[in-house]
Formats: sequence, C-alpha cells, structure tokens
Amino acid sequence: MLILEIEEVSAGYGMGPDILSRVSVRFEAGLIHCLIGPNGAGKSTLLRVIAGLLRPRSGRVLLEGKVISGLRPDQILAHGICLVPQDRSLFPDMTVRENLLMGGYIERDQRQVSRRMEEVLEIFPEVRRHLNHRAGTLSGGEQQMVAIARGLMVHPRVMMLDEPSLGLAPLVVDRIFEAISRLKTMGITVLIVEQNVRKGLAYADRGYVLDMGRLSFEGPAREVMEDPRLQELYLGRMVLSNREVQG
Amino acid sequence: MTSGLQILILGLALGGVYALMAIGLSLTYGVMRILNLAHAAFMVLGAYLAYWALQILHIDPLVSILINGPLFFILGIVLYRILFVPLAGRSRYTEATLLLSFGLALGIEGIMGAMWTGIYRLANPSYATRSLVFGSFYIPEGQMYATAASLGILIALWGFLQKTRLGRAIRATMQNRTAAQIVGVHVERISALAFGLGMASAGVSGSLLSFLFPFFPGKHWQWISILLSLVVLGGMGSLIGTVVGALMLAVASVYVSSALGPTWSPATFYAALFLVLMIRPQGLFGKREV
Amino acid sequence: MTLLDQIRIATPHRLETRSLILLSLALVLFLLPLLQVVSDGYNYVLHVLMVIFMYIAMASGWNIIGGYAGYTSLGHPVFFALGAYFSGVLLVYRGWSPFWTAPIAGLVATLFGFAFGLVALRTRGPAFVISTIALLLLAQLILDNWEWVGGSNGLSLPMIGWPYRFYKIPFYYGMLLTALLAIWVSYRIRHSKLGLFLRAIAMDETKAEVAGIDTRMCKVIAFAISAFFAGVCGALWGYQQTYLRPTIFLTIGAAADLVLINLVGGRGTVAGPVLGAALRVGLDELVVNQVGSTELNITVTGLLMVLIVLFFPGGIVGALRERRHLPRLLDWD
Repeated sequence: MLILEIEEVSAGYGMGPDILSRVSVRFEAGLIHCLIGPNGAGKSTLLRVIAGLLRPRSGRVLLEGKVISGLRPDQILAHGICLVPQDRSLFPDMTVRENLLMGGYIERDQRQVSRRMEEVLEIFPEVRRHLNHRAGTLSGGEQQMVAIARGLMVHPRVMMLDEPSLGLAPLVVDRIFEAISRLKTMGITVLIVEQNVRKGLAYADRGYVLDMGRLSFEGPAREVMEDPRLQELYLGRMVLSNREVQG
Repeated sequence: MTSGLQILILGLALGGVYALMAIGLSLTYGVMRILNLAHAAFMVLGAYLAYWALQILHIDPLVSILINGPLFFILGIVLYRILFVPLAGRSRYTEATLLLSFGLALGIEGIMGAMWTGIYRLANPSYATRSLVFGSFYIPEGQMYATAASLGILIALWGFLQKTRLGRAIRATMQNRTAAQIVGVHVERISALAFGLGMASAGVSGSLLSFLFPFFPGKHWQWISILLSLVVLGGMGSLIGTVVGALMLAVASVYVSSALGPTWSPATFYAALFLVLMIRPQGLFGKREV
Repeated sequence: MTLLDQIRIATPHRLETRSLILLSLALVLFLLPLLQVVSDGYNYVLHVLMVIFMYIAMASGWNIIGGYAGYTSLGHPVFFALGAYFSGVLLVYRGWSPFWTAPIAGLVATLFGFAFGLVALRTRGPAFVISTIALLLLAQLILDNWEWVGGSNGLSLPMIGWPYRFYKIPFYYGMLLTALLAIWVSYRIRHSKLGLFLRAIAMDETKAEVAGIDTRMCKVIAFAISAFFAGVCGALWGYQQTYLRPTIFLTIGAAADLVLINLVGGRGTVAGPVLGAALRVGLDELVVNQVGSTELNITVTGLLMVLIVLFFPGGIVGALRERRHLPRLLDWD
C-alpha cells in the first residue's frame, strides 16, 4: 500500500535555482526507505518539502491520496508526518523531559501527553535516565535518541530522519539504526537520508538514489547496493573517503 | 552617605522593578529578534494612563496595573500584526524592526507631548510619600509595593513560561525557531503572543513608574537606554540574565547616587554598558553569537 | 569571494555628461553669494542653502557607517556637539576663529569616533545602536553638568565681526565646501575596496568575515570617517548660532533627522542623503515655518520612518532604481 506520493515536485530556496526539479517518488507503508545520493542531490530538501518547512514551487505531495503540500508544518505534523532534522534540533536549554513534552505540543490535552511520554519511554528506556538533564549537555548519540523519541510523541505514521548517523561513532551508529528498526516493528513508515550508504541500505527495505534534483533509480535495498550505477555515481561525481563508502 | 546595607536594600528593591520593566524587551528580542526601541515609550504612555486613572477616576496606580496589562497586551498583538508581520522574511530583519520601533517611539513621544505637554508629572497616591522604618533601615512605602508587585508579576510570568504548554512553546521558539516549527509550534502566533506579553509588561511597568519616578514625554529615551544597558549586561535574549543585570545595575546606581549625587546615577548604566561591550560583549548569560 | 564579486558586478562605473551638469550646478552655488554682495535681500536664500549643505554633509557622513555598513548610529549628535564645543571653547578662551579650527574639530570628532567605535563595534548587530543612544545621553549628562563649558545654561560665543549684510557668506562657503567634501568622500568610499567590504558587512557579516575581511576595523574606520563631517558642521553651526547649549545639539530628534534623511533619500547610495537633505530642509521651510512647530512634528518624523521602513525600504533612489526609472543624473553608485 502506498502511503506517500511525491508528484513532479520542484523546490529551491529563496531566489535560488531549483534544488529538486520535477522529482516523483512513491513510498510504501510500513517499510524503511533509504534516500542516498551525492551532496546537493536534494535529499534533505525533499524531506523539508514533505514536512512543510519548504513550499514546493510546483508539484504536490500526497498522503494516502490526500494533498498535503501547501499545509503549514504544524498541520502536516498533525497528519502524522514528523521530521528529525540533521542537527537533531533539540531545545538545548530545556531538559529532556521538556523536549519530549514539546514533542507532544500539538496535543492540547496534557494528560494524553504524559501518557504518551510513558509509552515512548518504554520503547526507548535508555532515554529515561536523562529525563532531567539539559538536552544541550547530552552526547551526539543520546541527542539523536531523544530526537527520535521526541518525534514519536505525536504517534507518527511516517518518520523522516535526516542523516541520523552524522558525526557519531560506529558503535553508536549501530544503536541508532537498531532503534530505527524498532520503529518499523511499530508499523511506522521510515524515510532515512544517509551519507553512510552501506549502513543505510543494510537496514532499509528499499533504496532511492537521487541525483541533481531527480530520482536516478530505485529498487530493493540490496539490489541498489550492488547496482554498478551507484559506484559510478559516487566515484564519478565526488570523492568519498573510504570510511564513508565502507561505513 | 548611606550605609552599605541600606544601599543594598534600596538597590535590590529598585532592581526588582527594573527587571519587570526590561523583561519584555528581553522576551521580544529572544523570541523574534525584534529590538523594540519603543518599549520605554509605551511604558511612559502606561504611566500617563495610570496618572490619568488616578487623577480623574481615582483608581490607584497599583490597581491600574490590571487595566494597563490587558490593554497593552491587545495593543501589542495588534501592532505586531500590522507592523511587524509584513517585515517577516526581510533580509536584515532586526535592523528593520529597530528602525520601525524607533519611528514608533518618536510617534508616541509626539502624541504624548501634544496630549500632556512637556511638564514633569508624578502620580501621588497616599503611600507615595511615606516610608517604612525597620530599625536603622528604611524603605519608601511606594517602592516596597512596586517591588512586591514586580516580583509577583515576574514570578507569574516565570510560572507561565516554565509550566504551561504555551509558555514552553515561547521558550522553545527562543531556543530554536526551526525546531519549534518541527514540533508543530505555529511560530507566528507564538511571536504575536510574546510581543503582546512584552507590551503588557511595558504597560504594567508604566503603572509603577507613574508614582516612583517623575516623567515627561521625552523621558523614555533615558529609560530605554537604562533598560537596554541592563539587558545587554545580562545577555540579549536571556530572561534570567535580564533579572540579574537589573539587580546588579540597580544596586550600583543607588550606590553612585549616594556617592556622587542622583544626577550621575543614569551614568552608571551607560558606563556599565561600555564596560560590558569592552570586556564581555555577549553579556553575562549570552551566547557568543549575538 | 563570491559575495564580493556579486557586489562588484552590480556596480558599473559611469561618469560622463552628467558630471558637466553637476559641475555647473556647483559653479552656480559658488557664485550665488555674489547676489547678496550686489544687492541685499538674499540672506534667507543663503541661510536655507547653508542648512541644506549642512544636512548633506552630515547625512552623507552618517551614510558611510549607517548606509554602506548598515549600522544605525543615533550618536552622531555627539560628534556635532563635540565639534561645536571644541571650536567654541577655543574661540571663547583663545579667540581662535572656528573657520580655522573647524577642520581640527572634525579630526577631534574622528579620533573620538575611532576610540568609541573600537569599543562599541566589537559586537555584531543591535548592541551598537544601544551603545550610541547611551553615548548621546551620557554626553548630555556631562555637558549639562560641566560648568567650564557653561553647563546647562550653555556658552555664548562672540559674533563674527562682519557687517550683517555679508554675515551669512563665510558660513555658506564653509558648509558648501564641507558638503562637497562629504559627497566626494562618500563617492570615493562607495567605489573603493573599503566600500565593497562595508557593503559585504551590511549584507552578511558572517560571510564577510569568512571571506577574510577584518570587519571590525572596516566598521571602526567607517564610523570614524563619518564622525568627521558631523564635527566640522558642529563647529561652523555653533559659531553661526553664537550660542552653544546641550539641548540644541544633543537630542534624539537630531539623530532621527539623519536617519530619516537617509531613509527617505535611499540608505547606502551616494545620492540618497543629498536628495533626502534637500527634501528635509525644503519641507521644513515650506510646512513648519508656515504652520508653526508643534509637538506633533516629531510624530510626523516617526510615522514617516515607519511608513518608509514598511513600504519603501530603499528610499527614493532605491525605489526608482528598482523600477529602472532612476535618472542617470542621480545614479552615482
């Protein structure tokens, strides 16, 4: 079953050129989708468009057949689509507890929010011991966990993660991807943007390769990984450090 | 010369009022990077309204807080929607808001001058001239009520910001605007709310100002530079910094006033401002990037 | 350096027939006092033009920091007062003519501006404008209480020993020269590397810094240069008034005038402050002198400022350029 459809979307910032040019992608419910591609391919921009933080110049985004592009970010969030951006975007001077409460901001009933927080803490018990710490004092991996937990506060149907492994040690990266797998078992559709191609595709069901603002090719994650076009794309366009390619 | 402890008592009492006067400036800067140069002009306008309320309607300035607060809150939301929303997305936004509020301040100053002339005014409720004596220390009764009212309002504001959903949203927007959007905060609405709260604090401070310090239309320039000095000392956009800055500079100014005479007490603030810019430009509680 | 390249491309150099027109205008202005020599009755005209020249000089100077670099200063009345008191005191206590000490007064203002700028321009953004307001009020406080320079009662200066008929002429020339110098300096800076850096700072100071520009020094130098013209004007204006008083020079209203003139004409353009100054004085003579001055004058200033910020952020020159209607006569950028 399809959950998200991107139809011919073009988008860019300010007066600048199109970052996405008429890109069309479809995402299936309940799977982990990994978006890869060179820097500037438009991966993060696509997530921002879906989240409503950036209005597309043309084209539309549909959630289960209903158009959601053009809605405000808070309205899209209310439809169950949440974004965990690259910089985690926590509130550094608030405690983890307050960050989670802010995650449930669109729910007005505070009892519902508290109940949901308990549920989320059961899913991510490792977050509990930091509840009273200021978010800004946590390590990168802990912050990423909190950011994912915060996203869960709204009962999302789709969770989008922009480079969850960025700047984390390999061991921590594994823990994060394990947490992402837990999201799948809860029935949440996951969209990940990853520079760490090997790692991202290893955990994903499907892979999507973006290049120059368009969808270059897609397929089951394993096939994408072995596709010679992928090697070509990375080696031809940009020099990746060994560590990044091998993950 | 007054004794050190007496200076401390008077300074802290004064500092409580300064903190209330400046908290709105800090809030609007912190949430939306608007530097409202008209803040003190609205405060003086509030003082005139409180003065009027006392003279004509015999409403005590401490009671007119309840009128000025809601009145300026609504005024703030209206002004924000009419004047500041159109500037959103403009490059060099803070600079534009600064010029806009500068114009607003001049406009209000002229209107106050036309309505109430340039004469010094001071509301004179019954307690304004009395003092309370505790052993060898004293505190003017009016000052004590004003400080108590300020602390009450500041604590209420603090509780609102810490414990309520909207209050948290305001703090969240101050800390990370994009993140606030991501969790579904309608930041434009929160900005209007914060601007309204800032203006309400100007209005209620005006009620206190009306019986504490003589005022006339042009006086707001001195007030805005005093308030901005302590905001800069505390760190722009840091609420706790504003309160600490207010207490510190109020004590210092009372000391200067008793040592060199009241004429020079405003100079304390200007000197402190230059010192802060020289030594620690981001202020006590500010983050590096101002 | 892409930011700088962008700006550079947007800055074509043109100076042809219009320089002839402008030079002949300057010639007319230079010869105009002859009318007063030949037949009395032009003192009013000379006075109005002198005031225009003064505002052109001060506003063009303000524009260097406030327009090119985008740092609003409300402290320029302090330099104006500094110039006035410096030359005034030398006149009263030493008998030296302000016509000779005015340039020195300008240099004193420059030095003071440099020192103050070193402190106040350490930060980016709005802390600067706050410090200039504080400077203005501090200067007020000091002059009000400094008896040697007359305190709040002020200082009376001896009149210039010329016959009344020719009284305005030296001031006219003094202000005219200052204004021309200000326009020339503003033009040269606009087309120099410093001007390029300043505009880069106005656009995006972080990027400018990353591009390797010593942003702080650029800002401080711009501020110091801009103080010069206020200092010279103050020296001449004080002598012309024969009376110095803190409340004449040190008002926020005077600072607002410089801001408004630049906003109306077009902040950050060479011609903007010139146009703005002419309009400001012209309207003042037409309206205020007819209707009379009221408390509401300052309200009009404020409302104008609000309207311009909201609807014409580029001022006259900016709005005309955007619609490609800017006459080449006024395109000095």
